Amino acid sequence: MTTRPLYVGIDLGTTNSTVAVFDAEEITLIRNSLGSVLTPSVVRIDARGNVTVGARARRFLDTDPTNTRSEFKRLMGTTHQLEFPASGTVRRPEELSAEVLKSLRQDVADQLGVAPQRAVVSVPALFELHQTAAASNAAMRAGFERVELIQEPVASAIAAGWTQGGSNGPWLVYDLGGGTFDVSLLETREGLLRVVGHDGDNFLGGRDFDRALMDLAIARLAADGVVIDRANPQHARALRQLRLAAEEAKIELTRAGEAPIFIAGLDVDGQVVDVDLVVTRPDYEAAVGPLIDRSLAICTRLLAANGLGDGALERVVLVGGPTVTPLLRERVRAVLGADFGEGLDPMTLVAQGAALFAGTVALDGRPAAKAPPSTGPKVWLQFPAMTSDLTPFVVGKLLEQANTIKQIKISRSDGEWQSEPTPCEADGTFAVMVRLLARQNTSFAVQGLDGNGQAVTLQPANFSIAHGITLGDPPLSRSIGVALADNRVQVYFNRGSPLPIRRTFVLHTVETVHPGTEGHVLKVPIVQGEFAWAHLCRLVGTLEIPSTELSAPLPVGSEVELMLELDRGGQLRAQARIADLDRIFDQVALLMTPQVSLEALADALNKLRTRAADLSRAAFLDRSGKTAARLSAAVPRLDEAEQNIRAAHGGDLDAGEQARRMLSDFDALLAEIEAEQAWPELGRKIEESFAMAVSWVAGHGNDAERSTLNETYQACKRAFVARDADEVERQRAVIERLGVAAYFRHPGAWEWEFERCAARVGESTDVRRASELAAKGREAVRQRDRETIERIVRELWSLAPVDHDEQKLGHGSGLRKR
Amino acid sequence: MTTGDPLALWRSNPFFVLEVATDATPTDVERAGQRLLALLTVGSANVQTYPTPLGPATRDAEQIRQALAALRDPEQRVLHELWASVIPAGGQASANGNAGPWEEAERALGWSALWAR
Amino acid sequence: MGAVAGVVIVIVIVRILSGSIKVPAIALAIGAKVGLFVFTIAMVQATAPEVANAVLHAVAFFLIWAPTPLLRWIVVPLRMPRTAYWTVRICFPLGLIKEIEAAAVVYGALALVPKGPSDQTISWLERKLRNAETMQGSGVVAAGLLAALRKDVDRARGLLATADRMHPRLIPRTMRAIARDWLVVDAARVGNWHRVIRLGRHGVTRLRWSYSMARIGERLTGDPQAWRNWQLWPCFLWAPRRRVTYPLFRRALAVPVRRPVQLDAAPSATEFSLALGGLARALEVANAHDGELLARSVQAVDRDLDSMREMIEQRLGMLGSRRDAGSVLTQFRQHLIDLVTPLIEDDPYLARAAQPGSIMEQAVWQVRRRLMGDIDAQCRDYRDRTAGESSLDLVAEWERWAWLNSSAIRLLELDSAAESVVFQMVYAPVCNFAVYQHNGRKRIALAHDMFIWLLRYAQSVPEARQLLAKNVQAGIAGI
Repeated sequence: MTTRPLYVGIDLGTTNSTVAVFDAEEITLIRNSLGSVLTPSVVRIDARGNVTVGARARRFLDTDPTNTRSEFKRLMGTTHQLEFPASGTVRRPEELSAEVLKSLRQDVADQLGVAPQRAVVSVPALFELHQTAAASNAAMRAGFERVELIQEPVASAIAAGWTQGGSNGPWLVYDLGGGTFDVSLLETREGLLRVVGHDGDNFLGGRDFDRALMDLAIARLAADGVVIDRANPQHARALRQLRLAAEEAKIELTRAGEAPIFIAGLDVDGQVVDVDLVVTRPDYEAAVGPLIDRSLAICTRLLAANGLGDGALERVVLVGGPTVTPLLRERVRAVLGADFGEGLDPMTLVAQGAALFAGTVALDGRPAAKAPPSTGPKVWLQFPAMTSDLTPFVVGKLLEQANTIKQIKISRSDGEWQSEPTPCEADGTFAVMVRLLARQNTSFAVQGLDGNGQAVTLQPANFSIAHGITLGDPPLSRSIGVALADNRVQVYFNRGSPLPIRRTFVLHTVETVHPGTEGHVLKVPIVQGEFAWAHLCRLVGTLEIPSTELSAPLPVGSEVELMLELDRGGQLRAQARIADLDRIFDQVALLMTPQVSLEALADALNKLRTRAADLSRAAFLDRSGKTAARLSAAVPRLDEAEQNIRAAHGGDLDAGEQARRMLSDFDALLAEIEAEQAWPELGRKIEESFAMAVSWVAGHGNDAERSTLNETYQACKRAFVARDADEVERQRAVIERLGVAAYFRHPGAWEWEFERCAARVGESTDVRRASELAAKGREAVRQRDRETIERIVRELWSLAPVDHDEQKLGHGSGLRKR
Repeated sequence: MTTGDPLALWRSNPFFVLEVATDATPTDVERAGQRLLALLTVGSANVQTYPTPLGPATRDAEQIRQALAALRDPEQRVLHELWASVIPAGGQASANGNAGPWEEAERALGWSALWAR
Repeated sequence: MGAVAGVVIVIVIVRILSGSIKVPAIALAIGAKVGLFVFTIAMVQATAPEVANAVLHAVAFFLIWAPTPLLRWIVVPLRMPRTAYWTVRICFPLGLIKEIEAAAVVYGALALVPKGPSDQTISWLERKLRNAETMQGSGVVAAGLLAALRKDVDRARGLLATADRMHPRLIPRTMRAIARDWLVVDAARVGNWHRVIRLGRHGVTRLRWSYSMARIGERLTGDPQAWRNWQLWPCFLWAPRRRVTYPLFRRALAVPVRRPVQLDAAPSATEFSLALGGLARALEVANAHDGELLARSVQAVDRDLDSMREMIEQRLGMLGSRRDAGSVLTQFRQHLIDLVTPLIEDDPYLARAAQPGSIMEQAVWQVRRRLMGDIDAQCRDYRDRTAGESSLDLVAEWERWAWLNSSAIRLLELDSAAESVVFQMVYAPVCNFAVYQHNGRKRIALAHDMFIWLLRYAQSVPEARQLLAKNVQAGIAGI
């Protein structure tokens, strides 16, 4: 009798984690040592260095907060180091996640008697590359030999699809977890599950609901003269106690009309007070309403982006603890206009889906079994572990006795079906279509037939296939590409591309790189994001080719064949082949999100406020109501970011990360608006340049130049209509050059130019030399010596200050696309 | 820039790669892809080459998976259906067939080694 | 006596080489050959038996006075690259005296061709080229042949095209013939007869074989101005390589002259699938240089595409999409442009058949944009390196220059009206860089080639024309 497969799926949550297993027939939730299916994502390291995970650790969150850490999931992929003073250790968020995963792995071993070697781990859909890589690394640290990642909404969708059975049409997974919000639009058609689109917010979750309730409590306490300041590190303990109480109140408010927030002996600046507040459901709903609205705005944005209007959804699946909030359910139903999927546990759906996904990719968690004594010629079988197709193919190859076995026969273990004998190819391969039983695991026996039709037992003799859903390769959630020197992005993998994936493009260098030049590096920045401008996308890694590695100069325009590969574990591989040198470079420095200082954040915030104000003013003057409305809707996020920065001052790392993300998103919005405004401005510049050139060429140009000017102007207009900025600038430069050439034919031109340069001598790169030249120039003007004036002006030009390299905007990229 | 085969991209149309008709159901498409991937995994001979209306071409696992993904998206599928509906033209297309290449050129001058093959 | 005279002459030459007496290189070479010849004859007469006398006299004569035919007919076919190289170095063909090292590399590369590329030998030749004291036309031809041996056909094409259009003072006729022959074969092997015709009839110097090929090409493409049989025969007989070109010549003779070209009637109510079939046929390499056919095929597909709108909407609905057909049609057209763009980039002549507003024209625009970008990037590099006074080795500099001017020439083939625009883009950076190479790095030939090239396109800018003409004069004096 064959052992059932062990497909393991883990939901590594911000607040709680869960593990489920699927044996090709049913899903089982694994209970931890305390009998619960939910294990809090909390890690404590005591003075002896003992690590405690889960509910036991959570008890110390209030009493020993410095040695007990929670909610580190959102910090994965950053350079934060979390200290555990009692033991004198520091750990990265990834290492703490590894402890949680280790604990879950042990729970499986305790319940089922086998420690899984392979598993599927869920990650938020909008996790970036370094975050998914960190999750993968955490699982490897926890003892898994192989791990695959799946986005949480996709996992929920698989579980919902498995449970709800076959229904066609679009549906939505609304996943509001402890720290992140993911919404996914899916479609099921003939059992094929397809992810149509993703959206979400990496910094919106149940934790923010707690914080809203906390703010309510803080405001009430302030009214009573007890002032608790998030920015004050001395109030950190009080804030923690308040948060725990708020969390309990929040849970109570899902079933009661009011809930108390009671804390005895709260110490605030030496003043000990008893907190005894009552929060009603309307108060709570008023506090969290804007958060719910924010999530719904993201949902409607996703639907609109995919051409779906009101009432188009078949159903909505709610995932995550905070979705039990009555107001939330009410608002979601009202805005999205669809019923909820029934019979689905929002707390464990992700883990169930992850386990199902492990089944679809045949990621059996059991250690590789020792091969039993050979009972027949070996055959290598390939078949889907799970599929929605009732008649899939089973493909195989005879590894032994391929000459004697002529045909293959497969029969179903219930005896109700068997295949016709299928001839093997000359190389021993065969493909047989089998028939499954609907919505169950079907077992088959496979045997060979020799030339006389005699049956030959093969090894393995049996296999099974589960009928369920077909997902196919999990899709990439954010586009990945390479930043170019002109600040554009060469997209390699579009959002939604199936993983794993590999693409190669040929790019060209933008400058000559000489070998051995210290510090000179050809940079290939890898970015992630949907923006057309590279500087707005997140830099996730850089492949660097130091000039010291070059054996010969690399001239401008040299071809660089750049390959990027991304696997299902979120691991990125990059390789650059330079044909001219016949070398391959593949050292990619993957980036963690750098820790930005709070001062830098505050400074960035002020600059953004100024930019926003300037843009608003410009929008007002241009009567651009739409732009003005966009800006005024977005500005409150800056206030939120400011609050988060203040909380970060008080020790809330998560708030700091959230502030950084908000400012980055706001920067992107402003850049988008600026780009929109820049285009009409460019149109005006074209007309100005042309007008200047026409006036000079008309008087001092020849016929050929006039003709060239007209042709260039037409080409420039055409490029403007096609929104081809590079071509516009090139043609505009030619227009200006024609104008300038004609201008300098005017007898007085060199004198005027000299006066202009002489007035700016102070800005020269060599002021002394420039002053000398200016003096000589004045003498030449007096003597009307045009040749000398021209020579002096040319030299003054060479001393003019140089513009900074634009390459910095493209993350310092050294490549361009033809 | 030396042009490679201008029809290479056309030959890698997902319908050609998966050897399914343009009116194949989603299940047919998935089944065909699953079968081809499995055959490639076990190293079946001949599965790498596939016929197209524009001449034979070769495929690998990556192309098959990309083809499956492309055909799952309705817009992409319709786009590929258009390209796959080609009916090859017969006979001489050029008004003057004599103006074709001089294929023996390099060999005639003993210069075969100077062009890539 | 002869031996003594020979020795005396050699001593004189040594004195000259040591700098005591100043004479031009060619006079030096002739003197050396005379001395060597006299010495050799004397030695042969003194030592060799009667029978071998005549043979050895002949060998000595050819080696010393006419090594080029010996190289082409004996040394190169023997497939001995290093022997060919040293033969040139020792025998000093007079026509190649200015760049003897580079010319030696050319013959070494030619000897390698029939043998098949050997990395080691190619690297050896490349080293020899890099160490050559001067590099003008022969050096560029050598670099081009070595690139071709490395299978870098694009680079080879650029370099050999640059060599082919050089001023006669910069490149010996023999070397230009080698470059042009390669270019003609490169175009003819893919049926790009327009390029063959341009090379053979509009090159800097008329060369027999390429001229003959051009006339054959005119006949093959049905040019109404093509020569009749009685004109083609003498042209063919006068050109070299008659044996290998004969089959092609016969093919050309089979094409009647001055028959108006019967284009296939444009299919009117073509089914979309058939239009696609026509396009596929047009794209095939065999017919890729027929611009008219390509333009018509593309247009047929584009025209029939709109008739597919309803079908597309239906299919989208059946597949569960809520989008309309517009996005699919736009993507299809972009794919069409992307399909045609590489062909036009490879043979810009195809663009002449593009109608305004057509898909072909959009593809032409895409190619134009790419070529402008290439030219712009190289000009920026010249600007930066002039300002930073940084230079590559001479071979690399010729390669970069070949790349720039071949991009510009392709752009002008695409759009001849862009000549002034291209000139405005390249004039300042290239001229300043050429001045830097001339004055700072003493690379006279490179600078001179740049000035000549710029002067060709400076018609619309009088000041530029004046300055460039002055620079060209100064350059010629230095070569």
